[in-house]
Amino acid sequence: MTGPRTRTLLVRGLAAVRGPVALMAVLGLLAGAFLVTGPRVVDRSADAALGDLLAGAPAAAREVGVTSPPSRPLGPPATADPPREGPVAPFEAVDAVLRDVLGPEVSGLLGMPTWAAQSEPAALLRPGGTPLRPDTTRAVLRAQSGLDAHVRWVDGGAPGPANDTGTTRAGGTRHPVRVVPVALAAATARAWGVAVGDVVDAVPEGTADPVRVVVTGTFTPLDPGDGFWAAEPRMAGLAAIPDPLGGVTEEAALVADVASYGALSDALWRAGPGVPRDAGSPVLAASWRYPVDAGRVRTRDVGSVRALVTRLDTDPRLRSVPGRTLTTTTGLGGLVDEHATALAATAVMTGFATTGLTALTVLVLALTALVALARREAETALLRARGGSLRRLLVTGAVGPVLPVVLAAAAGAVAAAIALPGTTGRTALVQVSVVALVPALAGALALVVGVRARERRDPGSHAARRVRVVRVLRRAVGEAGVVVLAVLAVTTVRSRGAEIASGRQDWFAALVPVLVAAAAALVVLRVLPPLARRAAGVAARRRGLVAFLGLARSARGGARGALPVVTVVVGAAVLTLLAQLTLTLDTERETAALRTVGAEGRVDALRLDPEDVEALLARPGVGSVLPAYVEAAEVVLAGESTPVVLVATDVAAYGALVEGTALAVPDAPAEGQDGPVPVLGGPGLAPGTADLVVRGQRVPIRVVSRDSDLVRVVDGRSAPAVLVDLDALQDPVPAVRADTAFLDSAGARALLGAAEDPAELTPSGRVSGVVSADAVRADVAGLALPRLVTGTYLVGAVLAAALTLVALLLLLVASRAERAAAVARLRTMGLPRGRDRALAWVEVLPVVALGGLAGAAVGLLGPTLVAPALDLAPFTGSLTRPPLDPSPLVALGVAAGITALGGLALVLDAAAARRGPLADHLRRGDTA
Amino acid sequence: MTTTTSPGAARPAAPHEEPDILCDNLVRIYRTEGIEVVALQGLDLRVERGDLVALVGASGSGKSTLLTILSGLDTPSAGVARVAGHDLSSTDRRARLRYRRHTVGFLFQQAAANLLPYLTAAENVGLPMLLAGVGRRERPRRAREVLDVLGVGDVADRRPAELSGGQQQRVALGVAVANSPRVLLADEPTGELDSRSSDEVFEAVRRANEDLGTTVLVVTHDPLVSEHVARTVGIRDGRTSTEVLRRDGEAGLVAEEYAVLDRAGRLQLPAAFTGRLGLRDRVRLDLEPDHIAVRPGHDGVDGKEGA
Repeated sequence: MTGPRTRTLLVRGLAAVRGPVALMAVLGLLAGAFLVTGPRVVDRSADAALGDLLAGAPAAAREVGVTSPPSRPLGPPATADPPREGPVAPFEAVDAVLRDVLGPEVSGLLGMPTWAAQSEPAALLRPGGTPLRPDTTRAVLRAQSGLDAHVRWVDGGAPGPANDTGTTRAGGTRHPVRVVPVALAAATARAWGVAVGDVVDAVPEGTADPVRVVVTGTFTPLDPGDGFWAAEPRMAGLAAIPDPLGGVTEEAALVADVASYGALSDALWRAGPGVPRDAGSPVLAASWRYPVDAGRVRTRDVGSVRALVTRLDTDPRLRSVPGRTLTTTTGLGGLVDEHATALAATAVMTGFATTGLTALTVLVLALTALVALARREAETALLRARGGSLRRLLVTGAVGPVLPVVLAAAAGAVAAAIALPGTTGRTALVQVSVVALVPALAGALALVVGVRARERRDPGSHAARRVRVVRVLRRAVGEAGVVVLAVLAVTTVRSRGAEIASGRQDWFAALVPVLVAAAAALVVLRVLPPLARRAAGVAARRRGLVAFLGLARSARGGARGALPVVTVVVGAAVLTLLAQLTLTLDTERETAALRTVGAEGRVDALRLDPEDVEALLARPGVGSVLPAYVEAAEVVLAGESTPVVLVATDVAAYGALVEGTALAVPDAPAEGQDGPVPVLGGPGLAPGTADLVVRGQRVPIRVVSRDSDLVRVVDGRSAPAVLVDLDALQDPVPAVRADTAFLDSAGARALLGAAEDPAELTPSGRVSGVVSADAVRADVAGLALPRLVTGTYLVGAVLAAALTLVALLLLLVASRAERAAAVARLRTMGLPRGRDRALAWVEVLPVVALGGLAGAAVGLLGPTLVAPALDLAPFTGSLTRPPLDPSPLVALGVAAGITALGGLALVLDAAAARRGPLADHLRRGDTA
Repeated sequence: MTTTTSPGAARPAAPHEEPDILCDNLVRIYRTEGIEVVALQGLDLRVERGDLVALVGASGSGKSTLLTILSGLDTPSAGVARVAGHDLSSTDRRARLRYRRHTVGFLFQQAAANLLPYLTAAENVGLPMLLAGVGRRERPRRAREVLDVLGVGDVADRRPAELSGGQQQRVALGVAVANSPRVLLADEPTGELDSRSSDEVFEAVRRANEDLGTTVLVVTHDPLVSEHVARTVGIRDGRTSTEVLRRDGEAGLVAEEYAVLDRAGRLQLPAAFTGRLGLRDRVRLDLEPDHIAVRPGHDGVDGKEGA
C-alpha cells in the first residue's frame, strides 16, 4: 500500500476528464502540425510561384542579355579581295567577363547560355540574280550557338564551318566569298520552295556586300515556346512584319554556325589588309543570352538576383572589354519585384485565414479547458476543503490536464517538420507554444477566479454594492478594451494598408477580423439577454411551456457563456470572410480571363480572311466565329494621349456573343453616319469627339457611350477598350484587317482540341493560336500562389466549421448537467417526455443564430475593412487591383450554416446523452 | 395553560477553558441575484473540547451554513466564530488553509463527495496528509492505522466505487480525521445510509470522539444519532432554539429539553408547545416570582385562560 503522490493525482485525474483532454490533445496536435506546416507550404509555394513567374515571363525578361553593336568600320570594304578569315568572334571573351560578373551563386541558377551574331535583313536571290520569291522576301543572317539542341532536323543537318568558296557580285564587282552553310525552318523552306543543297545569295540593304549561303538542313523547333526562339522568332518560321501601307512583309532567318562568324562577316564587309582581326565585325551585332532556369531558382535566391541586377548596371568589368561596347538587359529585377509583391499579397490573404484559425483554435482550446475544469469542480472543491493550496490545485486541476496538449502540440510540430522538410521560423515556434499553453492559462485563470470567488470574505451590504459596481466596471473596461483594440487594428490596416500589401508583416492588422468579431460578440452578449427576455415574455402568453422556459433560460444565460458565444461569432466571421474572398477571387478570375481573351474564346492569326473564317466555321462544334482586329492603340483628346485597347469588330454581333458574361457591353454605337467614327469607350474615355491613333494614323472618333467595365487586356497590358465597328474603321484605315476571331465557349473548346498545331486549323496556315477564357482561368488558378490561397481558404473553411461545431458541442456539454437537472425538475411538474430536447433547441439555437448572424455581419464587412491591405490581382490574373464586392447572400448563407451546425450539435449532443450511463440518468433527480 | 422558563436551566456552567467551538451572535447573509437570504441570524453555540454534539433542525434552518463557516469554507457576515482558538471572522486565506489542514476535519453528507473516485481508500486517506506535508513514508502507515481504527482496513486498496455506502462513509471519516484534527464537523454523515451502515458510521464517529479525543459536531436528521449523544442542539430560523441534554439516570438515559435564551433575550418556544396551546402572533408575558408565564395574547378567545 502506498500513499498518493502528486503524480498519482495528475495521472489518474486525467482519466476523469479524458474526453476533453483527448479533444485538446487532438486540437494541439493539429495546431502544432498546422503552424509548422503552414510556413513551409508557403515557402514551397513561393518557390513554385517564382518558377511560375519565370516560366510565364517573356524570355527576354527572365534572362540576362548582353548585346554588342557592330564595330565602326575601319575604311571601305575590300570587296574584290580574296576571302580572309574575318574578324575573331567575340563570344568566348565576353562570356568569360559575364561569368565573372554573374558570380557563382547566379551562375548556378542559369540554364544553357547561347550567343549569336546577326546581320541586317537581306534580300534573297538565286545565284543567277533572280529573286527567290516573286514577292518581297527577306532574311537575316545569323550565326547562332546551340541550334542543334533545340531542333528536330527535317532534312539535312546542322550547318558547319564555311569551307567552300564562291563568287557573288556586289554592284558589278566580283566578290569572292566563302560559302556559308545555313539551316532554316522547314516551314520557311516550304514557303520559299528551298531545299537542302540550294545555294542562295543574300544581298543586305545598305552598304554591306552580298554573301552566298548553302542550305544544309531544315528543322522544326523541338519546343516553339522555348525562350531560345524568342530572341529571334524569325529562326522558327516566317514572321509577318507589318507594312505601314498595308499588308505584311515576310521575313525569316538563315542560321549559320558560330564557327562561320568570321566568314560571314568577311563576306558582308571585308576589312582592309591592315585591319586587325580583333577589331570586331562592322556588320554583325552580337548578343549573349543567359537564361535563368526556372526550375533552379528559389525564393531564397531573390537577394542574389537583386544584387546581380545592380551589378549589371554598375560593374566596371562590363565596360572594360576591349573593342566592345556591351549593353546588358534583364527583366529579372522586375520579376523578383513582382514576386515579392505577390508574396506580400499572399501573406496578407493567408494571414487573415491562419490568424483567424489560430484564434479560433485558441478559443476552442480554452473552452475545452474550462469544460474539463468544470467537470473536476467537485474534486477541486474537495481538495480545497481538505487544505489543498492554490498552487497544488493549479498543478492538478489546470496545468496537469493540459500536459498532453503540450506534448501533442510538440509531437504535431515535430511530425510536420519531419514530413515536410524546410525551415521553421521563430514565429511558428512561438505560435505553437502559445497554442499549447493556452488551455493551461485559461484553466489556471478560471480556477483562481473560481477559488477566489468561492472563498471571498463576506463583504457586508455596502461593500457588496461596491463589489457589484467594480464587477460592472471591470466588464465595461474589458469590453471597451476589446473594442479599442478592434478599432486600433482597423485603423492600422486602413492607414498602413499599402505598406502591408507591399510586404510589411503586421499580425495586429491580421487580427482585424478576429478582434472585430470579438467586439461583435460582446455586443451579442449585451443584446441577447434583453432580447431573449422579451421573446420569453411573448412566448409566455402563448400555449406551451417549452418556448417560454427555453427562452427564459437563454435570457438567464443558462446555456450561454461568454467564450462559446465569442467562439461562434469568430467562427462565423472567419467562415464568412473566407467565403467572401473565395467568391470574389473566383468572380474576378473569370472577369480577368474574359478581359484577357476578349470573349469566351479567341483565335489569333497573322491575318484572317473570309476563307479562314469559313474554314474555322466548318470545324465541328464551332457555331460562331466573329472576325475582329485587336491592337494596343491610343486615344488623343485635347493633346492628351490615353492608351487603349482597340477592338474593331461587328459590335452588335460581339454584344450578342458576350451577353451574359462579365464582358457584356451596352448597345452598339450608331452606324452609317458621316463624320467621326462612333465608338464605345471604356472607363476614363469621356463621351465626345477625340482621335484614335491606329497603325500610325489618326482617326476621328466620337465616344457615344462609356462603360466603366469596358476594359481589355492586350500584350500584357490592361487598358480601357475602344469598341468600334470593323467596317467603319476600315474606311479611314484600310490597312486594318481582321487578325482575331472571337468564339463562344463551345467553339473555343472545339478548336482547342481540333489540331496539335494551330496553323493546321485553316488552309492558309495563318492561325497562330487558340485560347479560351476557361483555359486562362484554369491556368491562373493552377499557379502556385492562387493554389495556395485557394487551398488555405478551403482548409480554413473546413477547419473553421469544424472548430465552430466543436465549440457548439462544448457549449452544450458545459450546460448539459444543469439543463438535465432542470428537465428532471420540469418532468416532475408534468413536462411531456421528449420535450426536453425541444427545450435545448429553444434555449441554444437563438444564441447560435444570433452569434452566427453577428459573425456573418463581421465577415461581410471584413473585406471592406481590410481592403487597403488586400490585393487580389496576383490570384486572379488581373493586371489591376480587382474590386472587393462582398455579397450579403454569402453572409446569410454562412449564418444559416452556423445555425445548422448548432442544430447538428444539438442532435449529436442528444445522441451522446442517450448513450450516457444509465446511472447518470437515474441520478439526475438527485440534483434536481 | 402556560409555558414557563426558569433562569439558567438550559445552559451548562461556563467552563474556564475556552470551548473548541464558540459562536456568538453569528450572522450569515447570502446574496443571490440581488436577493438577500439571512441564513444565520445571531446564532450562539458553545461546544466544549471533547464533546460530541448533534445539531438538528428543519431544512433551511442554517445547519449546513453553520458547518460551512466552522469548516473554514465560508466566512460569517457578522458575529464571532471561533474554533480551537481560530477566529474565523478574521483569519486570512493562508491561515484558513492551515486551519483546514490541521484543525478541522469535514465529512460531507454524500459519501462520494468526500472521496476522489480514482484513488483507493488508503490513498484517499493519505490525501489530506499529502496536502498537510506529511512525509511520503509515513502516509501509508498512518492511513492504514486510521482505516483499521474505523474498521475498514480490509478495503484499503479498493476504490470508492468498489465500496458499500457505509464503507465509503467510514473511509470518508478516515479522510476527515487523517490529520488528527481537533474538531470534526459532519454534515448528515448517515443521511444516505441504511440503518446498519448508519450504526457503523455513527459508531466510527463516536470512536473518533472517544479514542482520538476529537470534538465532534454532527448535523443530523437521524434519530439514531441525535438520540445517542449527550447533547443535541436544535436550530430554527438561523438561531439555536433548543437543547436536549442526556444523562444516565437510574431508569436509563434521561433527556431534558431546554429552550435557548440568547444574549438579546430572545427565546424560541418549541413548536409543539406553541401549537398545542395555540400561541401565535402576540402572547402575554407575566413575570412571576420564580418564572415567566406566557399566555395567549387574546384572553377568552378560545375560551381558555392561562394559568
